[in-house]
This record gives sequence, structure tokens and C-alpha cells, in this order.
Amino acid sequence: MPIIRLESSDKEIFDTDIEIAKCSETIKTALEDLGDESDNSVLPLPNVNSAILRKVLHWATYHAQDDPQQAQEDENKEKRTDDISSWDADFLKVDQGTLFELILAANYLNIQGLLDVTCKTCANMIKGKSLQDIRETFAIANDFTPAEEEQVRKENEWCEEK
Amino acid sequence: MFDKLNDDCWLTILKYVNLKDQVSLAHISKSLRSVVRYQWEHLRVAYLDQALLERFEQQPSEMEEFLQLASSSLQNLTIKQTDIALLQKWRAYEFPKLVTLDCDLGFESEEETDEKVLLLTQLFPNLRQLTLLGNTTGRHIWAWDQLQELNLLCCESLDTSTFEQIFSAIPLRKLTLLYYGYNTNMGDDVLPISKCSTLEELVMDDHHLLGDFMPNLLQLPRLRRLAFYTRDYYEYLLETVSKLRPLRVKALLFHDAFWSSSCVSQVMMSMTNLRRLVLHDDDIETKELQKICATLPQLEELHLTKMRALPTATQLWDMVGASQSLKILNLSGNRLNRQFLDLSSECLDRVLKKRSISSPLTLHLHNTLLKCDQTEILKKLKHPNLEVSFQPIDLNVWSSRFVEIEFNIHTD
Repeated sequence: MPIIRLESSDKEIFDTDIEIAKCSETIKTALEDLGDESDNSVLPLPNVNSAILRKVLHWATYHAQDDPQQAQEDENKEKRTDDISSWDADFLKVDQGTLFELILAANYLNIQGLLDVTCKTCANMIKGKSLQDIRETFAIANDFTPAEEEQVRKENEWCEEK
Repeated sequence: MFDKLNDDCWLTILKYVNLKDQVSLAHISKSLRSVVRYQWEHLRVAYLDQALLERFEQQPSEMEEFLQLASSSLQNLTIKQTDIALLQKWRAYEFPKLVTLDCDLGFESEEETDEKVLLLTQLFPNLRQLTLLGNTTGRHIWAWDQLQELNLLCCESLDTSTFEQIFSAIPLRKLTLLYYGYNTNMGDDVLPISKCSTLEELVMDDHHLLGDFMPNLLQLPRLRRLAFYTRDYYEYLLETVSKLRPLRVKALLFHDAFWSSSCVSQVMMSMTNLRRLVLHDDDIETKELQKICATLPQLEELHLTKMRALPTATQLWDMVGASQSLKILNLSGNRLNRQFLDLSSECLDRVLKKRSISSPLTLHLHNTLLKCDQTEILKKLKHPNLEVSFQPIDLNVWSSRFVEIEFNIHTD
């Protein structure tokens, strides 16, 4: 089994089956650029720490046999978020910090399946929540000026009352 | 630390957040507001549900912001029931790319819905696909002269005097006119539809296909698909097809609509160009099925999916043996058991040995035999002239009590 050595931001080395690593378009492209020299060489991933990379590879190993065709969704339909598989739902029972880091890693490594399922999970956390709840859930600072804030507050009066 | 989700990530998250929640997100922070605004500027598909429309009624400034950003990129729009006053405000915007509209008109008075449809023709002049639900009379629809697909669902107030104008003005390729039953019966007034010469696909209730309708329809040069919701008239209608144009029939699909009809089995014998027969969630007598397989010389695909009752394995394989043309046997979704496998492996050589390796039979077993290991199944069903697939076949089985006929375009 050909191996690629992936190096996390905190310098941990992950010996990984090339076929599994290739679910990342970013790694796949890097391997193609390396050509024949890719065997046993070290590929640094400076944006992903070891804890997150371990999780990403765990996900990729489980989904290695997935049919890429299934990822294609009908653009014209409203996107569903209730179709997360039970394995993925269990896999994503993590604290919010980890979830966001997984989203960032999936985006950086360009792993569409992982990006979709993590973003769906995140969207489910937004559904039907009030502004204050969303700010708290996502720890987003309110950076509107008092004047802008007043405008927003007025606009939202009716729905906050409900 | 969570502010660090970048715009790319947020845009992917927004794909899964409905518009009403997107409107809320725009008020969370400046950076999120700019992401939401970017998303709207590039929005192609929008679904305006009741909750969002209510919010827009309360907050016209939010609707204005949304329309200002999204109107020029929108291609596909769904609008649930809303007041015409809200839509009047849309006149300030142009929707040059909007080609698909799905609108629930509600059940207000005919005058009001007529006025609403008139407004829609002015707001969205470039429509190619239109779906209307509710109280339209049909008036003003003719103004959409580029329309290719028209779906009228449960439009109980349709005024049939508008049909002549609609079906002569619009070069329609697909029409759906459905009530799912007898609550509306327009009698002979539906006949203008059967003369719409550009029509390629038609979906209707069976009672609207009676009289001169079917004979007219079978004259249409481009018609390639007819689907009808049926209770009482499917035997009569298929009989009419078999009398007038039996050779045009290329495929038949019954979804909970065959009901062991020996009459339909009988008329099918004349459709000698039939290539595909689909029965889904249905019943058919084994001896009728045997006759069909043995008689129809072009039958390439037999789909018996999620059936209420199935012939035995031995009977099924005898049908395969009796057909010269069969290439696909699809048994997906049925409850099959080990005995099916054991009996099958005894039959395989007997019925398949006459075939050449270049024309094998493919057996589809998606979502069945779930208790058996796939390698075990493949081992039991091993034969040089047999291929086994566990993949689903998309047959466009969409609603029960439907019969679908696919026509060849150039035969007879």
C-alpha cells in the first residue's frame, strides 16, 4: 500500500494510505505535482493541527468507499439538512470549537463530503434561533455601531417579541 | 476564536440555511452581513415560505434589500401564499433571468387571483416553466408566450374558455393539469389541450382523457410521454391506445395502478414495440406476466419493484427463459429470501445457457436480500450470462395510482 506522510502544524507525522489521502483535492493536486517523488515523502499541512487531522483522516477512512456521484445534489431543490447519516452525526458530536476547526480543515483540504456534512450540522445550529442565541452559540461579537444597532433593533422588534 | 470561520466556509453554511434565517444572520455582525449580501447577489434559487413572507410584510426594508441584491441573478423562484400588496412592491425590480416560477395563489376570489396572475406576467415576463396552485381561472397565462412547461395543480376555478387562447398562443412542451380525482370534471372543454401540436409530455387525470381526447392526442407528432392519475378508466384508455396506435408504445409504467387487470395484459399483446414494462407496488397474475414475456418480441426491461406479490423464483426464471429479448430484470425493493437464491441457482443454467455471452441478462437487486452478504449472493448467482447489480435504477416513479406511457416519436 503506497503511503504519504502528512505533517500537521504541530509537526506530528501521519503515515496515510495515498488512496485515502486523495479524498482531499488539495493533497491530490500536491501529489500530482510531486509526481514519482511522492512515495514516502513528507507533505506539510501547516493549517491543520494533529487533533483535527486525526479526526479528518478518521472520517476519510470511513468514507473511502463512498460513491462520489452521490454528492451531486439537485441545485434547484431546497437543500436538506436532515439527511446526515448516523455515523456522521456520531462523528460530529464534538464541541463547537472542534466543529469549526473541522469546517476550516475541510475547506482548506478541499474535502467536499466533509465540508457539506459539517456545514449542515452548523446550519442546524442556526435554524430558528434568535439573534442573541446565534451570537452566543457562535461567540460572534456584535460589531455594529450603536446607531446601526438601533436600526437593526427597530427592524427586529416585531420578531423578537414573538 | 470562532470569528475565524472564513467567508468561504460561511457561504457553504448559508447553502443549508433557509432565507428567513439568512435574513436574521445579516443582523448578527458586519462581516456576516457582507457574506449574506454576497450570497444574495449570486442567488439563483429562492424559496419564499410563509414565515419569510410574513416577515417581509412586517419589514419591507428587509425585502427591499433582498430584492435589490437578488433580483438580477434569480432564476428559480418559489412563492407561497401571499397578499398581492406585497408583490406590488416588486414592480420596482427587474428579474431578467427568472425562468422558473412556482406560485401558490391561495384560494381568494377569482378577481383577486386574476389580478395576481396579471401582475406575475408583468414581473416575470421571461418564464419558461410555471407551476400554479390554487384559484386561477387561467386568464393572462397566455401572456407568457415563451412558456415551455405549465403545471396547474388543483386549480379548481379554471375557466375552460381560456384554454383555446392558452393552448394556441403558447408553444407548450409539457403540461400538467391535475386534480387527483373527480372533484373537477371539465368534460369536453378540455379538448383544446389535445390539439396543442407542440406538446411532448402530458400529465392529467384519467377522466379528462375520455371521448375524442385520446384519439386527438395520439395524432400529436411530438408526444412522447403521457401520465395519468387513474381510478376507473385505465383499462378503457389503454384499450384505446392499443386500437389506434399500438406500435407507438415504447414503455409502460404502472404505480399501484395495474391491479391484476387481465384486460390490460390482453391489450399489451398488441404493443409489439414495447421495450420496458415497470410495475411498482402493484399486482399482476403470474400467467399473464409469463404470456407478456413470451409474446412481446422487443421487451428488454422488466421491472417488478416493491411488488405486493411476486411470482416464485422458478416462475421468474422461466419467464427469462421464454423471452428472446430481455436484458434487464429488476427485482429491487422486494422482500426476497435465501430460498429465492437457492431456487435461482438451480434455474440459472437451464434458462441462460441459450444466451450468448455478448447479450447477458442483468439482474438488479437494490435494497433487497439485505440479510445476505453480497459476496454470498454473487456466488449463488454466478453464471457467465448473468450480471448482478445492487445499484438502484431511477425510473421516475413519483406518485401512486399513475399509469405512464412512453411513445416512440416516429413509428406506424
